[in-house]
Amino acid sequence: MFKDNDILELLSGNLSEESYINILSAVGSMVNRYNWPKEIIISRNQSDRWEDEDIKELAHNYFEWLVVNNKLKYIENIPRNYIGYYFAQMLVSFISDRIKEEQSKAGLSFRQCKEIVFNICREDFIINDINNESYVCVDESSSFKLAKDIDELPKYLTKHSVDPIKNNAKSMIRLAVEDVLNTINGSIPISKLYEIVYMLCRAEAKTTDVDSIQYKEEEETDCDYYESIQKIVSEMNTADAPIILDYLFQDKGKVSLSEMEEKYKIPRSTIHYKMEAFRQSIGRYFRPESDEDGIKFLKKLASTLDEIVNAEYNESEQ
Amino acid sequence: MNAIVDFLKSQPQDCTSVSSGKHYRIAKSDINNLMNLFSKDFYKPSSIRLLPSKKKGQIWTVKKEYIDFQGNMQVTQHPPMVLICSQSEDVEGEQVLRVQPISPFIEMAGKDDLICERQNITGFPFLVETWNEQPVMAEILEHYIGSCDFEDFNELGSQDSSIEDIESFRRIEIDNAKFLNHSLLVYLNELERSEHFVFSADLSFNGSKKSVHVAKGQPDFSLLLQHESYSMAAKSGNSSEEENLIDFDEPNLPFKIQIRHNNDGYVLTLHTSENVKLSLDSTDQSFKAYCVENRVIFSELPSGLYRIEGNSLDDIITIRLK
Repeated sequence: MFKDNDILELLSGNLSEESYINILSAVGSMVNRYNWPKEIIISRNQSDRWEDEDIKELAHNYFEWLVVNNKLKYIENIPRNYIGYYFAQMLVSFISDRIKEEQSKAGLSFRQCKEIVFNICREDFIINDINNESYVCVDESSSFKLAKDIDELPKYLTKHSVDPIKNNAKSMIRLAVEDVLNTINGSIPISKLYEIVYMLCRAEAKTTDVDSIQYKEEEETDCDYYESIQKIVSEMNTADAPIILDYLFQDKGKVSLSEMEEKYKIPRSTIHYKMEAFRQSIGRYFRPESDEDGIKFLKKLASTLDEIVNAEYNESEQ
Repeated sequence: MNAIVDFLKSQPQDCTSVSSGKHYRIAKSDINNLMNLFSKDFYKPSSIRLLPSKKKGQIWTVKKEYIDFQGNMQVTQHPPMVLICSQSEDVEGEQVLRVQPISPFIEMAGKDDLICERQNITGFPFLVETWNEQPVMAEILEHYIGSCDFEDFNELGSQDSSIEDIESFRRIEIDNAKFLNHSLLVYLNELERSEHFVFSADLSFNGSKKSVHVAKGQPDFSLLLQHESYSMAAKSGNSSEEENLIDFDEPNLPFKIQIRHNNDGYVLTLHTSENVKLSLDSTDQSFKAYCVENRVIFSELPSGLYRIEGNSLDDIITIRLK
């Protein structure tokens, strides 16, 4: 754990090299003692082993976390001879946060599942070693019989999806292990048990499948736009579509009513009247939730008008 | 795997035992990067610490180690902070309190746990382990931290950790809290035994301990523990002059220590001409000495745990007069 004097030096802005090394050693000893997973530090190099540079990075991340999260705002309240232990507690809290973050990103990893399954089997069931392979069974009477058709189990056993947010991995995995072992009539290789339980407990891809969510959101939004656009289009004369596109959706700069009059041979007042009626129609059938929403809608509307213009052109060609 | 549960149920190693042989390549910039987070004005501890009388609603730290009423050193690797939840009660001359440990690990709070989110009391938000209330000897409380009242707490609505982790956390904390209630349990045992003694003294120095009792009537040797003995007078059946005298004359002690008891209290005689200081462990109160012919005498002392310190001493001598 951290020595009080080393932490006091750090807080006072007088950190010596010796104290810095002591601090790194304390972090390193806790990493090794509690076997914290490597993926909790930001830069992930290929090796699974904690190297000196990794410990350094973890220590620096930890102290930044303390400062950024105001964990030291009232540090003077903590007695000097308690401060080393407090920093050890906060390190554990930091690690706990990081582990949860990583778990919520990745969901249940196979390694985590394996660890939990093994502990459950060791505590509550029977593990036998036969020819250098471990087999799990519910009781002694099942220990000499190998279970059959275990590959089919994931198809008809209940899924116990682990929710990383609720952190219910242990209870869900326990249910899955019990389901498997109570269903089979015999022993199952523990390696197979790991795989089956993992299949039963892995959460459905929800938060990580960002693209599919975005696509689904877009689809839903397009449906909302469709109704509004249909109402707007139904109130306008489809012959006016090119005029509206030219005047309101022109991206080459503002067009004057005079130019429009010359182009379409329609009085300016009539053009003005049509544009106003169209604007009011939009206002009647669509309320944007944000600027972005409004822009999306207008693009969709422009696209619809374009389709109308194209459709009429094609008809006239025929 | 829960990092908090693993930490609390372990015995954390002292980092010095791990740093030997571990060499980190240090660049000046590494140290500077860390120091940049903390300016020289960042940490301004108060030079004065309050030591109020112990009352309900106060938060105190607990000593990482204490000598119990049997003379045994009790040590914890997880020094708790506690909230006093009762007024002090006198039990045969010693103060006893009921306390609830507090924990900074609010992520382990259950839906029914009390949380104080104000950081300015202890330096961090904390949960009160209402399910872990313990009676303790007041003397094991060390530093006063602050006070809080009922309005500072709110019940936690959300439960961030799984039920299994919360249950594990509570089991471990209850186990760790034995360090607290041990202080009272041993005292109560000693109260029973003390009916057989006129007075006793527990001495601890340089890792060794010894307890000596002055017996009432015939000494009952079946009552004694390994490190205990009766005074020489009791063992040899000597005259009444020596009845109320305890001698500590161990080889590892820097000087002989004698203790007498009379109507005014205890008299502690140190056979030394060195400059020594005697203070009461619970309050740091110092006592005036009388120096006579290579002896330092402290008189009219109340019962309690004392520290004897001196420049020439390798270690503090602790002595409990009871």
